[in-house]
Amino acid sequence: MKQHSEANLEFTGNWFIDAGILGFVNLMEEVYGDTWNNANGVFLNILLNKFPSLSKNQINNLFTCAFWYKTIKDTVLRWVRKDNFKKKIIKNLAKIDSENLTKDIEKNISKKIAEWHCNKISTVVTKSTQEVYSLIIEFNRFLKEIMRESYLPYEKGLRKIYASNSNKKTIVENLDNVGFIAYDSFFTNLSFFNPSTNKYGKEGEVLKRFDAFLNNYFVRNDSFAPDLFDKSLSPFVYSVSHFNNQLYGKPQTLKNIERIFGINPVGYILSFPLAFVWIRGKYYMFYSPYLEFTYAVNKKLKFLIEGSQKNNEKKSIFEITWSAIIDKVNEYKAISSLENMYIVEYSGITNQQIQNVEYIGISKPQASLIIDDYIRDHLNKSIPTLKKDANKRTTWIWLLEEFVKSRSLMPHIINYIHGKISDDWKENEKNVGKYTLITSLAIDAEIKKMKSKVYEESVFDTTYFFTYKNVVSNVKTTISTMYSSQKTVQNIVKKYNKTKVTSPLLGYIKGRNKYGFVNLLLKYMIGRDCQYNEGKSLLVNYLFNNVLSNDLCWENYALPIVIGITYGGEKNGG
Amino acid sequence: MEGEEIIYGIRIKDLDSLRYHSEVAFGKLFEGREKAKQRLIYDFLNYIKTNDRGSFLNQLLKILNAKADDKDVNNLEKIISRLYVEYDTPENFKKIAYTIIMGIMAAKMGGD
Repeated sequence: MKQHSEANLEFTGNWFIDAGILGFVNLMEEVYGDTWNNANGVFLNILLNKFPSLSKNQINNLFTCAFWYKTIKDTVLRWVRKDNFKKKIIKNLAKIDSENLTKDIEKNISKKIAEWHCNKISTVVTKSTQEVYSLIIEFNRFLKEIMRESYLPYEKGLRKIYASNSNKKTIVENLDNVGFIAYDSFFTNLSFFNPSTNKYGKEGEVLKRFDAFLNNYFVRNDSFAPDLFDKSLSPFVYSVSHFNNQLYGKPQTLKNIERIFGINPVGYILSFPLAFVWIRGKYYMFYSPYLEFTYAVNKKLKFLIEGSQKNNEKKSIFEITWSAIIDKVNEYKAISSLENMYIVEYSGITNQQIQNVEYIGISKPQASLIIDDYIRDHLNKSIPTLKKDANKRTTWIWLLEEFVKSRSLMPHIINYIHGKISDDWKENEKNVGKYTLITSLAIDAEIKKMKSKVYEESVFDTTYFFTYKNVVSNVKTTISTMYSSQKTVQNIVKKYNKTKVTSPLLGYIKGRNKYGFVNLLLKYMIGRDCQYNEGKSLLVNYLFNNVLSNDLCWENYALPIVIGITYGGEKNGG
Repeated sequence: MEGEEIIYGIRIKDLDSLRYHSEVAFGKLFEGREKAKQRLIYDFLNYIKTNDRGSFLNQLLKILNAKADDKDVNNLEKIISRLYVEYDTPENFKKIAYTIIMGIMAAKMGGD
């Protein structure tokens, strides 16, 4: 129909359309994954290779078949899993173990669907649009027959139960009324899912509407435009009647979206909900502006979630998402993929209103720090805290999580050193590498400096957008400065003096007493023999430049000295 | 901007020059006398700790006076007097005092 070529399957930069594209890939993988995927490769690559060779019509047919197959299959399984037998009542009446019965029926139907899928789905590419429509109708009829077979023996009993309330229908009666067994809470308002259209015997009509929607963008007869992109296509969007600013901006239309992004948006809009992963009562989607990266992370996310559910782990979604991102960052190294990433979540749709939507963004400076191998490796660690849980076990915190959540890392490092010099920690809680501690302190210091710069100058200043670009090299310089100073202090402070010096120094840092800290340290230094004179002047320089004349984050620079003293003489310091 | 900076704290540029000049001047004053230098630093640290500004300044000027005709020592005196007038707050006093001490510590000893 349309002139443009859809040969390129790639992200547009608009998360809403992109989520649809991701959902489209997921849909294709679920339906055609087995038949196309013969070498165990990544499905996305196979799809990307195959895509340019397909004609527009073929793509539409593939999508139509996959979409209806998936919707019908999901709806059937949802129907079967429902409490069709009214558990409690039928147990007393007919002595039927409804739970096992439901399980058996579900197993049987799933098996039949798998067989049908195996036989019919591979031929879709070669079929014409009309043949694909017949295939869908055939699939629907096939499932209705199986369901009727499964439930008919119990129909009499079921009828009795439902007799008290004539409005309620048994599952078999429902089968006789409805056209396609297809329903989607995301698209309740779409004309072809509407119960008044989707009636028994009117399957052809439904598909005709679907065809008009897919090819001519016909949504409904509306005074504004027939191809409105509003709430009926996605609960994320306002309905036209709620669009109060019509004078200033018109509601979006599908033709407009096609003009902007150069794609047929219908398939992607219908695939939108499939981009999300269902986790513990909420739908999640990780988004970045690169299809490959987003696909890989979401796939890994799904895998990790299944794993954690199997093992009954109580990991936070945040932690799982981040382990997925960290795993994949190595493969798809591109700073721009980490910038502009976010997680979209919603907990469900009630009365066509989307519930609890949240967009969790990740800031640019943090993204550019995470992309760096060295920094990421050292931050991707957990350190013990002073807190104990109910079982009197030490709670650990994940530094990366704190960092991504924009929390200061320094208090954790102070607490860790405090714990390390105290006696009540176990040995395994004391061997966090000093590189990790110093990296955290350096990052913390640089971010503090960056923030202060932003406030000092102006938020709308151009420098605001450039400061983050230097942040990685700044952090690395800071790390090396801190590292050399802690090394120097190891040579000056004698091993047997360790605790005697560290406790008061740490106390000064905690009490924010800069001059007390400097005073004690200088006093300690002048009394020592002159063997390390060079080291001494190095340390004095460090103290002058980074502690004394630094009002902003001197604690960050003072702590490495304490770390140096605490770790002094330990072989496994790294 | 200029006024604000003076209220909130000393410019790092000033601290840097103070430190440099104390390094040079005290290098000459304590040439070869490491022990005397250490004793002075110790005294100074104690004065600042107890916030005894009078004694600190007293001892500092006494020492500088010993070589008052030296050019470098003279320079340091000028800077100190200027800074004390410009930045006279307890917080700034500590900063200036520690900068001087650090300058002394960094001073190269001709003797060893």
